[in-house]
Amino acid sequence: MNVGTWLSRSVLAACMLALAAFSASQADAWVLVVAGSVTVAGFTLSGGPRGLVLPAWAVRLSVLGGIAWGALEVFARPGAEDAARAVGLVVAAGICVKAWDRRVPSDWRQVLVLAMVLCASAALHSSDFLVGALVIAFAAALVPAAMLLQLHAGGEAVAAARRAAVPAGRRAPALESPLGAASARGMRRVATVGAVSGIGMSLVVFAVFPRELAGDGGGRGRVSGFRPTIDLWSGGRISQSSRVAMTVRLLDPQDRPGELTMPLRMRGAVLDSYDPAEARWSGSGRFSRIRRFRTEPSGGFEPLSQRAREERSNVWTQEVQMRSLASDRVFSAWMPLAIACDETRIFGLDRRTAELVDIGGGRLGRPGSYRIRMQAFPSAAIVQAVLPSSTPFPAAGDVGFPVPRVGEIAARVLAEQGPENLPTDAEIAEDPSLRRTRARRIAAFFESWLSGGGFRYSTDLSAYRRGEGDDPIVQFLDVHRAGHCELFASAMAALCLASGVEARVVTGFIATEYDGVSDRYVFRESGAHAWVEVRVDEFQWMTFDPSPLAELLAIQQANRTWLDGFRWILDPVEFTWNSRFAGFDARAQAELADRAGEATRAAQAWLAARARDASAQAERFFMQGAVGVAWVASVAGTLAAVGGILAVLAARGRRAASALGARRMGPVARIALARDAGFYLEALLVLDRAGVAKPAWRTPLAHAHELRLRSLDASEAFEAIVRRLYAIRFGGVRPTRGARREADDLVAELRRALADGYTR
Amino acid sequence: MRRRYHVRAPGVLYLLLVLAVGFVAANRPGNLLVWVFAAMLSGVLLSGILSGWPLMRLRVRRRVPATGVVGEPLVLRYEVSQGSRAWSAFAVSVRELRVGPHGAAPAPAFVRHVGPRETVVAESVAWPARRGALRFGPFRAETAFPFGLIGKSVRFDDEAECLVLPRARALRPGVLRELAGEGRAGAASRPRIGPGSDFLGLREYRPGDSIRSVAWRRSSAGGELAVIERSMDAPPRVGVVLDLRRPTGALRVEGGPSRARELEEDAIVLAASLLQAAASEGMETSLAVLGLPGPAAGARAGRRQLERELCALAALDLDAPRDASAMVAELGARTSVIVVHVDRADLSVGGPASAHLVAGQLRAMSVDSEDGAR
Repeated sequence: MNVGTWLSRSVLAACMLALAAFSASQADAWVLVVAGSVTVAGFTLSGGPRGLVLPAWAVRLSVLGGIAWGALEVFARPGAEDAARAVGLVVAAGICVKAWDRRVPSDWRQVLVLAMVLCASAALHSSDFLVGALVIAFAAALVPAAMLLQLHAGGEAVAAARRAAVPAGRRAPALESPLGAASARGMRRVATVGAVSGIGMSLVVFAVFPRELAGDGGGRGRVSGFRPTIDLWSGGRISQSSRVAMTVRLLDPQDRPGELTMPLRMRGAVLDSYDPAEARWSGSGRFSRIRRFRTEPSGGFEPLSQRAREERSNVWTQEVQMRSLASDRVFSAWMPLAIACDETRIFGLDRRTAELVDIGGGRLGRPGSYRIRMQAFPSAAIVQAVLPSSTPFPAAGDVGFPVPRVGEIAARVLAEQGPENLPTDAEIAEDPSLRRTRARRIAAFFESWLSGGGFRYSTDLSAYRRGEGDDPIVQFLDVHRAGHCELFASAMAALCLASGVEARVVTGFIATEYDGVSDRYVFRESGAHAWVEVRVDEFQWMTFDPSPLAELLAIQQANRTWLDGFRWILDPVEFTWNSRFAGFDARAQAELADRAGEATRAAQAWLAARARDASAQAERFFMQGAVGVAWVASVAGTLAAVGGILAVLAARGRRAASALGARRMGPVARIALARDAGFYLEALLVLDRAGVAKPAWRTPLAHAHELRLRSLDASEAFEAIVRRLYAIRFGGVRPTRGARREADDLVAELRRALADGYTR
Repeated sequence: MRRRYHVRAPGVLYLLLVLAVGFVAANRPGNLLVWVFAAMLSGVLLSGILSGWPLMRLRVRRRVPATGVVGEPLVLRYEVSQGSRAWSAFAVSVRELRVGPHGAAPAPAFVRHVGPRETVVAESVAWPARRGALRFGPFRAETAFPFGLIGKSVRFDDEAECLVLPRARALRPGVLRELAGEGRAGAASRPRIGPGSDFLGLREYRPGDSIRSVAWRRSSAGGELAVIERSMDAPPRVGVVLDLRRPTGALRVEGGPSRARELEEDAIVLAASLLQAAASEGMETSLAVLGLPGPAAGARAGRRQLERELCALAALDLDAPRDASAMVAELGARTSVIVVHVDRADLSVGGPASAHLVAGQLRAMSVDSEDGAR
């Protein structure tokens, strides 16, 4: 086994996996192509016969330059994700440089540490299946690399220590570090055990690591596009992936599948609260109004209210099949009336916003499929029955937006370009129904104003800078006038709220792609979308979408590649990954703990039952109560003692047979030999402890002769012992008790002579 | 055997890295990052377990050579046996913990791999600096395999001893012949049959005898073939007397006791060099040490005799009380006596025909320098 060659290969493999993981986390193949090429070339050329390496000053200069660039980048973009990306790029550059550096153990160690940091950076940025698979592969590759590095470094350290110990002008003798038989097999075994144990232990730590509820539709850190909150400052989390998130089959009231003439929007989360300090939209009091519904595999639809059960008119059905997306959110196109699932699960309904969430109900992972009955335009009675916590229609003065500048913009825009003849406050006071008209007209105006050409759709938010008192909505409206759907929706909701119209942002998916073969809408991750719902009546919210849909769909189409046609192969794996791993949160932790507790209790009960059964059987067999138990215990104890004594005697016999070359003897003869020639074994032990052990290849008499250099007395004593042994082993002499005592005296004499050191 | 765990410097750095990742994972919870943290933490635990496991049934026996030579590499061998039936041990280094007196600890021996139920021999080199008994104390087998983060060591409380012989130097050509000549009585012969030149006797011819050994005149007179038997030549005999009767403190030496002790060591080296030179020329040698307990064997030739004499010189304890009245026993009529003194010659020792040397002449008489370079 050439340790150096294997070390180089394994470290290179680990580096490439780390670069691939980072590249996948950034969705930027060029990182892998460029850095990978440089790294492979460096490992190949610097490790080759010519050993082309960079001079030390060039390595140091490159590393310092990389660090300086990274520091500047972090200062320029202080966001956590940008900083992590900058650190990752610096580390990737460091790996490239170190690939061209010299090869001493500390260099190998540095390269591996850099690769680990790169992997951590990738994991920090993304929890995607591909990134996860690469990180796990890196961890598996790191095990043999670290093992080979230890072998290599240990040998090098000892060689260096030997060189340092050589006196001046002398040459150290060439010494080999021994390598036992089948070393590669042994290493594979240790590597396998290490990798399997490591993964097992890491899963235990992973399961008990304290975490909170994820609830973001794909696990923390995963970029799936959809999120139940909107952070306007972190624009980098918009996904442009064409991976299929889910497919939906839409059945009309006659249960016929079909396609709508308009894009289909699937509501996931409703965001009605804006935090101007963090520029974050979230749902207010979401879990305080929840009502639970339990589904069974063959239980059919579970109605969300008694009134909904009786509703028959214009009820549509959607069948959702999750593909790569694993979310606790239940996506619904319209107002849900009933839900069905092929698993025993508990779903929760927010009784104000009609959001549906999966609560689990003793199951790990996320639902893979479900069906929902719904109505596009529900009556007030239905809405009242399903959503009893709906708030009353507010007056214009009760609605507002917490950023004053947005109010100024809304007032200015409405004054300059707004619809004419808007109902005034006095008119509304006389006729409250005019509030609805006013709300509709204002919402429609802002929708057309935002999508009308003055604003441009873009996923590049690098121009947005977070400063003291800055708000991204204001920057969007006032300065940049470009952004993605979250900014468009946020801006419209903010303008409406600032104008006294109740509005909220909704996140979910939008799709226009329809598969006519399977009669299903195809929702891709790039179809994650945000739009606005405006309250136009006591129980009616209207959907407005200010994003320029044509540009949005064009960007989605541009990202498609021929590889997308094969993504379905990985969908089940990705769904399992997202459902079980990326989406593992506090709720799943609790369920896992419950299951473990139940399993432990069941195992304890099973063991106790078996013990009781065995006890009862023994009682029935002996029919003597405690006396019988005592008798069994005494017999078992005696048998154990006899077995122990036999084992000790057998071990002693084996040792004697091995030392005296009598391996072919039977067990009884071995025990007898151990008893008769025990003094010789004792003498060997004495020699061993004195540092003059007899090598296996040297005959006993020759060793006795060698002992003369150490001690003449010891030599004579050992020679006498050997002659006695020969008489027993080959002369058939059975030693008497006196002869054994004499032999023991000789051993004592040998011990004394060796303890005295060098004697003549 | 005592087992211990050691956290190494890379392990400390790694732990800091794990803590940093754990901190980030706790503040920006992404499940993949949490798993990375968990895997890194498992690496620490595994490093301790996997480095300790193979050492559970590891046995190491030290094999110290009986003798070594000052300034020459002394190869220590360690028989490393893995008693486990399933587990190999990798990257095991064996390190001496205490070597003394006058001995620098040798560089550790290194075993790259020892398989299950297998024994391999690892080597390390010590460079003895002083003559005398070199004692080896406990030693330690340690490994940080597989990850180098946490190491495990097993200490073996074993004692061993090696006798370090003085380093005999090569003398200038002809020096020994000048001092010893061909022996006081010149070349002699022994009363044994051999290939010498002196007449020993006649006997009947036996098939296989050389035609050259036939005594033709006697054969023609007696009518039967007779052959001449010749004696065996006896090699010249040299007796080296080392005069150590005066205690170290009583020597007339400038530079204090340390310089006096150096001169005594030089005298021992000079005696060893004379004995080696004589043995290499086929002479019979004998050694007598005045003032300290020493050997009392007769003159013999050969490697074993030289070994015995060098061992006796190596075992001399200069701190032992000296016997100022010790005299040289009769060394035989044909023995050339060379007396080696420490600080000054005492011509009363060894008889009138003996040659006298002092330790200070060592450098002038030897070809190679102290470190062995010629």
